[in-house]
Amino acid sequence: MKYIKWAFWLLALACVALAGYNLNSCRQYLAKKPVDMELGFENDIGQTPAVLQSIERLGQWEFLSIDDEVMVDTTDSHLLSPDDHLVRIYHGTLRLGIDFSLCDRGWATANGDTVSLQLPPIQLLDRNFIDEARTRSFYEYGTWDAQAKEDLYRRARTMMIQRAMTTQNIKQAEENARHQVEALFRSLGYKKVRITIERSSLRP
Amino acid sequence: MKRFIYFIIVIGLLWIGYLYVSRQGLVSGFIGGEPEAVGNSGGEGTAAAAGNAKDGSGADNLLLISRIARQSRLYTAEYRIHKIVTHEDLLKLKGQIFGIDFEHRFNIGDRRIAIPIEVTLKAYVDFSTFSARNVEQRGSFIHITLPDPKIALTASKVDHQGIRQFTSLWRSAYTDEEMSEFTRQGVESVLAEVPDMRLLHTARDCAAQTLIPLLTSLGYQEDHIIITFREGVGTESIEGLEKIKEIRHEVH
Repeated sequence: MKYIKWAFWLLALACVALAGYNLNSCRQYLAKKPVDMELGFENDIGQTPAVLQSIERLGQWEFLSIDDEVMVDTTDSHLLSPDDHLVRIYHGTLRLGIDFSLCDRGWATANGDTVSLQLPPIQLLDRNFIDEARTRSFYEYGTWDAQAKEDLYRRARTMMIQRAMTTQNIKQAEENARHQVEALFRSLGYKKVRITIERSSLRP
Repeated sequence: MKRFIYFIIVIGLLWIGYLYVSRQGLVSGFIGGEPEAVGNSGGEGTAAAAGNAKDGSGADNLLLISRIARQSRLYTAEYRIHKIVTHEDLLKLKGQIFGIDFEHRFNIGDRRIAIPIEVTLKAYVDFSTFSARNVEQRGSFIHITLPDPKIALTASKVDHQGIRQFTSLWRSAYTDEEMSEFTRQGVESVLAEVPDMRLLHTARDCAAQTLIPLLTSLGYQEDHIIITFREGVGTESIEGLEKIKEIRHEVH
């Protein structure tokens, strides 16, 4: 009878130890999140190839760059409902410089240690300079079609050109052009460098 | 009948009040306020210009800030790259049950969009560090060592007319902000692929093709002109990628 009592207590102790072990392992299991689910939408784009459409040889020398941002907005008024608004912030870099493809034949003539250069006018090197990847949609209310966005793009481009193609900026680009071109030809061994830059049609 | 007329008048006044409040909302309030200065960093010359302008359509424009910097870059090649950025906005359930991964897509309430974009890259040689040390003359021979060519992103354009989106009945259309985010991701992926396109090899050829006519017009014979590039030219440098990373960093 005495042994049965001892066996009972041993069994009870074993049961308690087993329960404790199980509780600990259950806690560890729960800490590992056995069931972890997430419901949602993906924000990443699909994998599509980038196609190189064209390669063009250039001869453009940039002397001044203007990083610009403009905010453009448009409104569509309605009589019986709130107006639609679209506000976008465009970013672009306008590059002023000389396009060597516009040089006349014999634009550079060397005579001994003297070189004479007849350079075309300072101009905007790219017509498309807006980086739409950096465009931010600041506010949108209502539905907007592609034409509205194209119009905003064109307006932003016009505004940036108006702001960048100032007399001061063109003059600054010309000064830098003289400095850089002279440095290049002096590096080539010429002692005297005579530079004539055609007057930009945008300068008054 | 009288009560009904009063009711109509009250509803009408409430509606007019709602329209008035909505037109005095966030957008017009912001445009009337102080302009925000964006991206101002100390370049060689910094010009801040801000003001209000109105065009014929009656829309307001806020001019932000511009940064002016002197450069000396000879652009030698232009690359146009086309990509169709796609996005599938499917409801997705993913997770883990007892250590087993699972993923399930529900074809209910999905929406899809395809955005054609064109990215313009230009290869250039930076002449700001060019000096007499880069030129070696021996008799009628001239040897010019040019700095490493680099590639810059000069423009990216979305073909808005070409965008196609398909939306199920109980989903809203893609917002302008979402489309801008996909465009940004698309341009970033294009720039990530640039090193595989081996653009700098053509950039070097184009740089030589630009300089050789200049030197021949100065009296050098074409076969006496040697143009080489500094070592390490194979490591492609993309200016735009760094910019995009900066933007993403700012966004997050």
